[in-house]
Amino acid sequence: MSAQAAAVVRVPPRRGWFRALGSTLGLPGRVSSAFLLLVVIAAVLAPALTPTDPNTTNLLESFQGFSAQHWLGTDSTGRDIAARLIFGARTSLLGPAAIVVLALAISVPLGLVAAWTRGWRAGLVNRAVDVVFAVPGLLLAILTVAIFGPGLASAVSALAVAYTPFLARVVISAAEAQRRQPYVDVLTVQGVSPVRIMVRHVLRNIGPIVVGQATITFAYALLDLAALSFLGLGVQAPQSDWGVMVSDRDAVLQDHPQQVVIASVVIVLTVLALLVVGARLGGETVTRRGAARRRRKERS
Amino acid sequence: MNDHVVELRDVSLFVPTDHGEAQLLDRISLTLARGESLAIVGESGSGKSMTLRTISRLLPDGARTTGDVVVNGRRVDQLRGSKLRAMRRSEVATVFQDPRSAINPIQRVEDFMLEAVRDARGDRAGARDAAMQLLLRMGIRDPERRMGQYPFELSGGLLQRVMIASVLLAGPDLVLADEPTTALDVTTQSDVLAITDELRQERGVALLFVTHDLDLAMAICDRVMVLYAGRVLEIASATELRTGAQHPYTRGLLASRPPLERRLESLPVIEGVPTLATEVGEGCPFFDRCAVRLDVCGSRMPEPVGDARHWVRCHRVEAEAVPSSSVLVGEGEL
Amino acid sequence: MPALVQLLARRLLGLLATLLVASFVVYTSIYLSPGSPESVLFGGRQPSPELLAAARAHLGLDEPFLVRYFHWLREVLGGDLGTSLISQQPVTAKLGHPLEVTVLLVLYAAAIIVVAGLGLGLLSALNPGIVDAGITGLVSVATAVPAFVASSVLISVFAVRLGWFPPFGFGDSVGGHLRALTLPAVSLAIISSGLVARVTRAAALEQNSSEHVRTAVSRGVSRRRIIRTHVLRNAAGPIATVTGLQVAGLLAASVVVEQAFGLGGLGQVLISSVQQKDFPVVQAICLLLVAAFVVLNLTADLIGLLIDPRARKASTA
Repeated sequence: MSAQAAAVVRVPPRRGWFRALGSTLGLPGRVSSAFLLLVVIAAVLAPALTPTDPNTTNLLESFQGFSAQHWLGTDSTGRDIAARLIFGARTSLLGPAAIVVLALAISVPLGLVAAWTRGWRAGLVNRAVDVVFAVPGLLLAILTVAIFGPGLASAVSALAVAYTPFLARVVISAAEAQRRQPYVDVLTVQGVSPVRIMVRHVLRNIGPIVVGQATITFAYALLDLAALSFLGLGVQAPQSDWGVMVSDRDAVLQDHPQQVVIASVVIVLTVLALLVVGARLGGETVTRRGAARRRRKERS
Repeated sequence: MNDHVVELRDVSLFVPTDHGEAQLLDRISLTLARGESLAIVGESGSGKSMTLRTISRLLPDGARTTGDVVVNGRRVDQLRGSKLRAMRRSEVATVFQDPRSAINPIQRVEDFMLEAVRDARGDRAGARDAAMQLLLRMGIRDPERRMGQYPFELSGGLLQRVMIASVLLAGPDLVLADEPTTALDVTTQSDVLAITDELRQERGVALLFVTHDLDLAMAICDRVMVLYAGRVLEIASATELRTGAQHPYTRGLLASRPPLERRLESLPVIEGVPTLATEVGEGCPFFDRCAVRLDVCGSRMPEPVGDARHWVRCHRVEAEAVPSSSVLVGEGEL
Repeated sequence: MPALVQLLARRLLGLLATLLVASFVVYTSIYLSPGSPESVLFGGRQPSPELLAAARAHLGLDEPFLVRYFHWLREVLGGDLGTSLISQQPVTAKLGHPLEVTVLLVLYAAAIIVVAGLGLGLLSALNPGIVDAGITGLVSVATAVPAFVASSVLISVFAVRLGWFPPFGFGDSVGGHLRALTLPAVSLAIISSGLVARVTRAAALEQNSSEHVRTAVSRGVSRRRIIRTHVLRNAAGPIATVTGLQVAGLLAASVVVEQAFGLGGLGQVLISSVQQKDFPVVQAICLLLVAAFVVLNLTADLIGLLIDPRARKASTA
């Protein structure tokens, strides 16, 4: 059978993928996804949602509690917390998104190549992955900031480099598992090119796992970037960012922890939602009955 | 009559599933005398493994049995805790199909073998010697070295011998063997079974041998029980089953073995696929695949027909049997 | 066991190679920075060409790059981590106390992780039902609470509102140190404890439903012994590896916590050195942290290998 004939055999489009997605996610996954959607929408529609500007200071109105004018109160310099929170969502989400996109752009092709080729090329990639693994992400980011100065760009590039090996490892192991499947041999014998096999078939099969890991990476990237902002090395004032909002030490020490607590809660909830969705997509939840069911399946 | 090692009286098994309770076994009855061996033959889904589990009580969570399960004269279906453990330690032992997953991979052979025994005896040196003796008898040539090794260092055949040796070490009255040689190649299979049978008979240990291989069952055991969809269809001595099997299913199984002594144009098969216990209705479970079925077969489960040594559950057999020799007996008691 | 020794040797070589590469990266990266090292010395003032030349000679900046790298490496291996550009002190002296602080902090946090992580994981694995559900929920939330959030919230509640612990500083006397380090250690430990608890629960559950546990049950082995020799021992491998990796990761997160609590540890010195562009100090600290990270990773790996004899065989293949 020639490669052309093989190409004619079309993979039928997936119907009902939305429902399938819903069942993979389960109740916690769906609730989390809904929450995340809300956060994203809030970030996109930010100017429409809050009448106040997040950067106007008014020292006379500092440390105010919840009111009709300032829903979540004000911070140490009188800025509206709700506005800062919603506008802060933009930077807090954009950074991790950039990191994940960059990391995926490198790790997916690299991982697929490493999984396909045997011999010295794969070995080299694995060694490189190991070496970069040796440096923890936050440290690399600090080092980069040390060299190129603070700001979102250096932090993002450093963290993208730091997370690439993590994702690459996942891609490599998933792709290698796929490669051992009989269908790959069938396609190869039919004369389908390796690139086509990798992209059209293997990639689609490992898709959920990779997306799941990417979501988890997003969560940890969010935390790392926020930590950098907390340290004053990431997002710079007057830009609002959740990490910066948590770092207001004076507010805490003067016993006005409002902004800090609110921003903290938002961060934790967002990250939790991301982790839940990511775990579900990657098929990682271990339940009691799940483990027993898997054993029974293996036995029969 | 009361010197039976194990007795099952109308035992049914129900397990919880996503769609409510499912019945896996329907009124199974059997008896086994001391030192006797009985094979339970059936296809996948026939419930043969589950029959063993009703005796060792290794049932899934939420499962329940009705009927009596009696070991050494005592009812075991209500046993719990230390009494249940005592029964498992010293009276009833199980040999599993895959020794590689059944033995803890990070435990040395010696520790594995002595684990269950040491609790009861408390004399480690003595137990260790006995274990080595058994390994030798099972055909393992340097038991001292093997005792110190890990499971991944032994082949499947060796590992199964270790498993059987450890089972015999505890001195049980009854061994439940769940397809113990299915995972082994044929030559190893016959070797292991021959040695096991020898040892077993020496020590007077009864054997319940589960297999899907009818030939193997007839070769190894004194009696054979044919199970289908959780119901007993026929029970007879091995020799009698070979020449005088009566149930259409048994005869079908026997006929579908390729013979060595003549040529066939095509191999006779039993039409259809095996029925699961959960899919059976009121009548005989073999109804939809039986070539000689009667109308009544679809609506009523046949009662045992025959004598104590050989009985069958089949309306056709009942209909064609000579009246004087068809004594309606209960469970196959000897 | 020659096989094990061989394995150790190979891993050690790998470690050395990684360290070498990492040290090169650390060394080079500083020099990529806009603004040369000698300009830091002069604080932005424009020195005369002779002074500039003298400074360059003093810092050895005239020699080719690789030569400088090897000099630096030699000095580091001999214990000399260079001189601070800002304070003119030898770096080793400057790092003495901060190192002590960081080590104590990481040890304290590691202890919390091991106790809380293992304890909660086992509790939830062995007690199905509401205990399991409750702990699993708690653990899930814990994995989303980063050190800087925990620091801020803990300071607010326990230091400012309740006054049980000092909000910053390292304290004096051993008791004072422990008190001062409690909130920071807890902040550091939260995410890792959650991850370790989760892995422990998963591994224990997996073992619990395994065939060899079923075999042991069929032989009448007591429940306690089964948990000890079959569940725990088999689960120990992956648990130890994850725990080790988490502890290694603490080194990075400790920077944040030290800054938040003003502990004066390595991390805090790192941050201030970065802001002041004191390159020798940045280099030294980065090197120390990376080295510690790599060594801890290797240890975690090795522990995993020691526990599971099969893994030893697989690694030498």
